[in-house]
Amino acid sequence: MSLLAMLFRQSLPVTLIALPIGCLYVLFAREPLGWQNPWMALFVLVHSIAIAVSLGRFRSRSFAFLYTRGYSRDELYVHKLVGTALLVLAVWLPIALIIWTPIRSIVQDKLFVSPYFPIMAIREAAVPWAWLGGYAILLPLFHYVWIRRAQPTRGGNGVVLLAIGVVLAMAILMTFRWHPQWFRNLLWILSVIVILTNLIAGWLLHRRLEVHG
Amino acid sequence: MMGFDGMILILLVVFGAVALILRRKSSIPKSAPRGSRESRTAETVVLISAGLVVFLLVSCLPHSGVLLKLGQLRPELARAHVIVACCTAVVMVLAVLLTLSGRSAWATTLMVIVLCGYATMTKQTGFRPGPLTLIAPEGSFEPIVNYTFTTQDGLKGVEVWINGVYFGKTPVKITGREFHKKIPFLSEPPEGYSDKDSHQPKAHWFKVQLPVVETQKRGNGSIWYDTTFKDYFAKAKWQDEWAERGHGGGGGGGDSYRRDYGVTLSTYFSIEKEHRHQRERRLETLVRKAWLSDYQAGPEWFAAAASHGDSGWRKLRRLAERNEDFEKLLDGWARWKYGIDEDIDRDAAERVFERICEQADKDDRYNRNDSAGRAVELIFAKLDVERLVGRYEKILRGRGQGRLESVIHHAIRLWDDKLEADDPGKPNIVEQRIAPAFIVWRSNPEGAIEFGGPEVERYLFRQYQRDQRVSSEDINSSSREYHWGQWLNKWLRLLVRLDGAAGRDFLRQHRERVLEMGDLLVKNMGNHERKPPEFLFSDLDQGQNSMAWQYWPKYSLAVESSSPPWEPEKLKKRWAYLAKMGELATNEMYLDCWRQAWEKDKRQSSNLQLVKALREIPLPQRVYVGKKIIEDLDSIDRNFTVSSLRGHLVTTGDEESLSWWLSKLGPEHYDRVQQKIENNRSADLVIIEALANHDDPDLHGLAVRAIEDNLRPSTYKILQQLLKDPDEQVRREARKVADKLKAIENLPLRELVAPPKLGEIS
Repeated sequence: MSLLAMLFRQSLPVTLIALPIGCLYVLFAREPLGWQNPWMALFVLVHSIAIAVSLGRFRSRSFAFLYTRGYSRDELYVHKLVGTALLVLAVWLPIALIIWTPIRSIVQDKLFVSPYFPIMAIREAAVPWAWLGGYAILLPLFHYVWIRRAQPTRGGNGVVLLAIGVVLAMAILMTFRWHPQWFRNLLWILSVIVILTNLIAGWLLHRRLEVHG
Repeated sequence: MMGFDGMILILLVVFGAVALILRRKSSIPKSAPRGSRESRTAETVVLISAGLVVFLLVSCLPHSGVLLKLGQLRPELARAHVIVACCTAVVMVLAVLLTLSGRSAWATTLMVIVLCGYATMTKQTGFRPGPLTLIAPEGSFEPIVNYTFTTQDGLKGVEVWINGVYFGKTPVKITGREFHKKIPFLSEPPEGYSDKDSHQPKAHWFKVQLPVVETQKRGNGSIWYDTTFKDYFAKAKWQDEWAERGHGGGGGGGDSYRRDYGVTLSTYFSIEKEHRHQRERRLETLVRKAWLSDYQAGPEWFAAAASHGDSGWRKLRRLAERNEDFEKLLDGWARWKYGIDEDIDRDAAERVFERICEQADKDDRYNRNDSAGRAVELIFAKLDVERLVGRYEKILRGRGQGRLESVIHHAIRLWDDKLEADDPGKPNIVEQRIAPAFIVWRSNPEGAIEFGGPEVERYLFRQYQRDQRVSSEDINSSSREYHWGQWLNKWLRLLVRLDGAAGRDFLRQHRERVLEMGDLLVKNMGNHERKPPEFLFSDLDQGQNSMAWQYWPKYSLAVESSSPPWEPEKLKKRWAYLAKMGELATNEMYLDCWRQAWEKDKRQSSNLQLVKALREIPLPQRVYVGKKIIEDLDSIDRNFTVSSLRGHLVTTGDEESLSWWLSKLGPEHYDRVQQKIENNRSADLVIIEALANHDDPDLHGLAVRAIEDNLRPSTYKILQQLLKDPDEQVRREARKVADKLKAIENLPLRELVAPPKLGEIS
């Protein structure tokens, strides 16, 4: 528990910055939010990078300190994953609640006299799940990136390019509005494969990562 | 806007820059081992997944790729696409192998480059081919055109010559390339096509307008394929008989790769003429039988009518426009076809509805004006409205379900009208759930307006409040629309279409802007006819405060610059406007318009166009205005126009005009009687009654003939009266007609079934 609290504290600045930005954007964005909204996509991307960086600065002193406190590698990996989930939830959940409860709808309706509200609230309800899906794909990948880069082997930079490639593929995907059902099903399958691959590979490689004191 | 190629270039440059930076910052010595087996495997899986997604997006999705529709492409183009896709796949496999060997950076760079290249090679914008032209021959991009030549009635084995070349026997299926190879194009008609002194084709020749795909080249070397209609000259022969005359035309369509055009030759062979006449005669007799039985028709009658298909239904609908009794027959037809009892229960109604939905889906066709639409009108009130609304909401959330959607939309529309009529002004379930769903899921406020309701009203009003300008190019692109040559505030245009209390409030509160928009629309360069927008007539209950009343002087002035510029046309437009004002327009207003035209051009204003213009005026005012005009014209001795005007007033039932007309009629003038009736079908009873009751027994004979040609129950009653006419000659003629009608009454219905189609018998 204390390890979790420590990891959470370590990433507190990220949460303190991301939470108000996300909440304010969701509250005050005038146009209806969709899963293809580029600003929220960028927010999820930057937030994911920030979380991965805050937990995976493998050349930092704090990192070396943590890894010499007697925790097993698996214990640390699992705690980092749980911590990541909590950090995401700490930002994503309030944002989602603003959308799901009528807060956004009321603000838009009463304060901004928006034509889209309250009728658009029903359409926006599904959008937070798409953002959560974005976190689910990106965070295991970014964790894998720092774990891979902390290995005493060549090819660490290649995985950064690979991550950029994945982000580009997701961006391209967002520009296509209508996907046939077979393609959607394939996307689900591939997403699950990529997430599991990154989690499992991250877990295996984490056991062998090199810590610089 | 940045082009597709520019975007790809930027992507590559950014990716390359990141790759270089990372390469320079690398701290791992070159002697270190490459990544472990686990890392190589993981990176391979991720690379394959991301690469596969982009590859499929580019190659297989409906709007972007062609790999799933290779069969529609010309073989050369299909081959080129397959080659490019295979090459891409090979490089992708190479990238995967590189990852497996621990060179993820190279692998990812290679993957990004090859996929960008693949997207650039295969992108298609409209009919302009992309860089694929480097490996595919130019002609391979030309859409595959298929023509199918048939005759209108489906007659098989008709021999066709086009531009003097024997073409084959119908139905002829031929590709565009084969057609152009076989048939030369002639810019001038072939010898013998037209008479010396006439442009009309000689006997047996006729013109066929064919859609032709042509290759066009731009200055920059790119090409596109344009569809134009070209004239070809044809002759057709069937069993040693040349088609007397005809014409032909093609229609159809497709996409960038394939076009299917059906070309119908409307030939006139004697067998076709006879077939059409027979069909029309049988249908006409069917209708007469319905008249004679006072619109009482049984299953046998409906079966016979249904054998005539759409033409039978259309005929009844046309008759129903003038005679409401035919509505009963249309209802009966729909009830017979779908088994709808008078007291149908909910379950049975649901079953009928499902049947109509399935049929519409299967045929990809639903028309609310045909028997299926009529059946929906008969059963909708028995359907569960909540279930219907839920089902439609689900459809609106998705991507639409073709014709099934049209059927449900029709039923929902009927429910909305019913609920509105039951409780006017109270928001109903359709307004609360379906109307907003059109905005939320379809971004279609026009569709929402059809149902109305407070949600839609608020949405439109708030959109309008964001920018209240009536017309400007600077209005946000999502809030403006191009209409008749100018940018208008889209929300204002939609708001004036609201028909509820909120719509009326809006019109009252924003009258100035609405009138400003109306003025812009009337005086617009695109509106040569100065057609007034409908919304001007939406608050006539406000009397002299209504928009139509207030705008009338401006409209009258605007008509001066309308086209065509002659006075009777302007008069017609002014009268049409006043007619739309209903009771607000006074007799004097109509007369003022006439006098204004009369003052400007006495010669033009007194010609026969005046009679046509008079038809715009509602009946009660028409008689008054017509008589006043006759007085004016009498003073300058325009006998011909006066006669025409009086003749027109006959059909309005004006007794004075009727007496004048009858006084000029003799027993030999039956053609005048029939022409008068044809000019105004609803006047037939008035004219026949006047003829039958006239003091001159010679005119009674005309009534008998008119009854035979214009039979319906009310005129049939007059025939009964004429059977007892004091004049023996009239009685004899009436008896002859009555016997003919009796024969029709006794005619077995099986003899009135539509003859088999020509295509089926030859």
